[in-house]
Amino acid sequence: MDASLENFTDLLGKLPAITREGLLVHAMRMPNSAQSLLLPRQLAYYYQQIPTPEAGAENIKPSGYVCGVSGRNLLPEVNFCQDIRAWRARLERSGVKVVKAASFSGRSIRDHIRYARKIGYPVVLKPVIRNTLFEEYIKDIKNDAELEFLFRQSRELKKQKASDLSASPYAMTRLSEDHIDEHGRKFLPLSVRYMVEKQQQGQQLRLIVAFGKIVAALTKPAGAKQWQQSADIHESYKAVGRKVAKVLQGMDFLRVDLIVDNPLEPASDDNHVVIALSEHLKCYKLITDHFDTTQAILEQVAECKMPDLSKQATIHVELSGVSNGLRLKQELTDVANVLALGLKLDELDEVTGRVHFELSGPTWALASLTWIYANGLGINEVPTSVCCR
Amino acid sequence: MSQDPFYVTRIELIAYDKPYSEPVARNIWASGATQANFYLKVAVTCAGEERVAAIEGGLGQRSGKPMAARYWDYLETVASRLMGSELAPEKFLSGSMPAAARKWVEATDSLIDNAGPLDKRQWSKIQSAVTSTYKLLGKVFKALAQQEAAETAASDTALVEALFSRAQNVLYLPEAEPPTYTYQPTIKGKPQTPSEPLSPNSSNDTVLMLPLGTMDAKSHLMERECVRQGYNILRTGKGVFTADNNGQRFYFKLSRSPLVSIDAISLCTHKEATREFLAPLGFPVPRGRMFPAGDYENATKFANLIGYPVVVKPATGVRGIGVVPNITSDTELKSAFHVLESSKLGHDDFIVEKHIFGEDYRIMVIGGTVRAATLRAPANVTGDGKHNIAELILIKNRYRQNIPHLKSRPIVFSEATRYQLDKQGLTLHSVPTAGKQVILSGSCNLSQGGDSVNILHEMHPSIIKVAEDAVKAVPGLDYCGIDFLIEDHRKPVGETDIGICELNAHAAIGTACYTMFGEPVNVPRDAIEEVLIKNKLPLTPLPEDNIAVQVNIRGKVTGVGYRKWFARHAQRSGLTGYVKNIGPRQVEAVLQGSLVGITALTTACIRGPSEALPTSVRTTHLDVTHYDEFTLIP
Repeated sequence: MDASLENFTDLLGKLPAITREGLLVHAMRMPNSAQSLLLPRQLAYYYQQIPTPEAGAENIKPSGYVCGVSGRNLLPEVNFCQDIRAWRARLERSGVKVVKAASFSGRSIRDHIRYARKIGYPVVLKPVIRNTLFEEYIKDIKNDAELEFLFRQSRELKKQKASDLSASPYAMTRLSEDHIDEHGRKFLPLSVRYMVEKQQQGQQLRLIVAFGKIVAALTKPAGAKQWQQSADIHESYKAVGRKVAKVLQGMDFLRVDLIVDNPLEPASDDNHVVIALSEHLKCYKLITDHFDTTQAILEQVAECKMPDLSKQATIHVELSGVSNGLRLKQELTDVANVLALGLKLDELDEVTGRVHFELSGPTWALASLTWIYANGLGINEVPTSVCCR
Repeated sequence: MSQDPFYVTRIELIAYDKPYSEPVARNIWASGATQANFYLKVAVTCAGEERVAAIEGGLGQRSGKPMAARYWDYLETVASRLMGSELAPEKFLSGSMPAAARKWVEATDSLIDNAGPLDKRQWSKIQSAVTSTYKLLGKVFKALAQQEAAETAASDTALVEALFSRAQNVLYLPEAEPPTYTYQPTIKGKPQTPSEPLSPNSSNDTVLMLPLGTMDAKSHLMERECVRQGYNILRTGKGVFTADNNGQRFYFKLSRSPLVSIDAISLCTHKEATREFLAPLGFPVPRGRMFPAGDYENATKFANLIGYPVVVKPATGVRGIGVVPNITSDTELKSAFHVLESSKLGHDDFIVEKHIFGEDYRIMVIGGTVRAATLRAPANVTGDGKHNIAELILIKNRYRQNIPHLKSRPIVFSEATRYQLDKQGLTLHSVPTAGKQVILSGSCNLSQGGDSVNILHEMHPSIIKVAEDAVKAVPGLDYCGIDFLIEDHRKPVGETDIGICELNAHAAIGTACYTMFGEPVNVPRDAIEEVLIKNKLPLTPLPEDNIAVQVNIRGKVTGVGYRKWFARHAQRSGLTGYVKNIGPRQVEAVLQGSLVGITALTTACIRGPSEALPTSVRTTHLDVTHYDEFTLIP
């Protein structure tokens, strides 16, 4: 890997985790597209030809990605992935082993505690429906007092806006009334269910599925921090991954997490369970240690070959929805300097709030700057859209 | 004193959304009842003299429960027996009950509901309903005999307003002409030629969809069409189900179907993203911009740059929350920011955009083709020269109850209604002249009492083309409700102002399916057929009048009255088959009958009676066999 790419992975590490996958896909797609349109909430469209009103809507359909997840994934299937109770019922009926768990409404902590005692500590607590891009769970809960405290704490309302980067743009909108306790503190609505599941002992096995085929299998032994590539995992686990993918028809890309006793031995009823499914492949976690695997996955997701990210290029960028021209100029110059990019900035059109500029430098830096601006990462003058040609 | 007989000429019977302990019928209040959940007004006439009395009472206080529904049916029957009755003058004026009163309050079959002679608890409830209704009528007749008390009840404005804020269900009203809708747009203050008046629709599905109760019909409609195409269903939540057939599986969540991708929904749920996407492609979107929460200074500058009137709305809003239209000055804009800030979405980014004049339309585009165009008119009534506005609202609400999608969305009396009436110099007691339309709300939302009118037959092809092209431009969007503002939908683009407000990738599917006026369009059917066509699967519709399914319900469904609940709904919907327990946490049933009746019940099974906690409901097709009745197998 050359020096530029090292800088790219270094920069990736500094961005919020939930924006990294999107940047990886953007870095792949932007150099391969005639026009990229970056919209709020990590929504990105890539056109093969520059769209115009005259060209006709049908002929200029772009490819869409949101938070680095391909638009090939259909909506209700992804919503199923976000709803643990729904996918558990579906997998159980298809004969796939899932972790022992039960869900209860927010009205009664006693039910949670009773169930945790029944299955035995330690347990994991998680919301049944995931409305954020990251997986929310609390593990290693060892006793009743800890469970009661953490249950209450996790239900306390975080001030989350729909425009927050962590909020899932494709989740169901939750409009039910917040629960307010006797001290005036706000909590999630009582109807929001939480799940208590048995914390499993064993190795983590991660299977990444693309178009129904296993494209990567990684393991992480208990206590380890890095994922390890495992070419010789038993074929039966890959069969489990394919079976899950078959159940979730409509998800072209899927991540399946399991806990297994030993990935080298055949899967049986009592040595493995599925603990999570997600539309987020989390390639950014693999790029440093397993570059080739990451490249193979990303090429399938982005539907293009990995470009030469260190290649010098020039792009024309248009930012919309800008109010303060002076602040934009200052911040943009600073960011371009940090990324060693050449910048030619036009004056802000105050009526339309649009500003044009030309950027030159390595491809990865061009992708990074546009992604940083589209998602308001560490800047104050945040545009409403970024269009690159 | 006149010796002519008195006749019961008018009755209003209104159910409240919940029990209230504060009486609104100030002069008569059923003593003994601590809480009231219905209001009864009786008018009697004799030789041009009218006397009115009103009373409140409490029956079946657990709103939405099966027993409550039986009480309402019973009261409605009592009201219909009472209507038109002749009352002997001596007895009437002495305040005693007419001889026929015992017959009026006789228990109905629906109140008895197959209660066996040994079911003492049930019989005592029935007896108590009959006795309290008799006593209640006794008080009404006593009040009617005292002319002064009766007059107070009739002219109390505060009473009428309080009543409207509580009204959930108008059960019984005197005969009146059905409400009509006449489309007559105004362009630059000039009224255009009116269209033919439309009569209200009435759907037979309303009764069959009763098991759904307060559940949203979206998910049921999708399930209905999947079952019609021979698919088996696994439902795991109120809005969540999968449909499968021969290894092919589709997922659904409310009206989120496999016709939409995740990037499409992300684009559609963000109004600024939608504008930034559509504007460069030349589609008519209003000029506007998004601002971060609290950036009111820049937003005000921008409003002045594009010129008033403008609209303020949250960037990711739903159901009209925080939207303030037609802002004409800096002062109004400041108030609008306050409204936005105090709404549930007030802490989020917001949009300021140019206001477009015109009516609100929802155009459904499925598979790139427009299938339905629904005009959403704000809540309104049309005068008949006889009834006052309060009565016209009640009459219209009565007709709304014949439409499943509008049944739970009546016109309600609120601050907004009072504001609209004040603006027109009217009150609830005003009697509008025949044909005069009175607007009751500033919002076109159906849940605010708005009308849905299907006007696809009148819509100009150029507008249809714009809608189809806009949806086609978004990748992964094969199901979309596109919201337009249009001055006159009968004119071509260019001659009339049009603007795209938003794209809805999970638009309410019942809007066009159950319209108040105009020909309804079966949008869920079109959507499911499109899913099959897109996946190159054959269309194999089953007959709608006779299908058979096996239903397996798992979860906490035994020992909670589940089978009884199931059997009651099945019998009411005219279905045959059986229901039985097959384990400690599983109930099995076989249903045979109409598609609508069966799927409404299977959708409602995920909720069941109040004590039940079902976790999944599996519906599997069976060959049609012959059951003569529905049996509850012990």
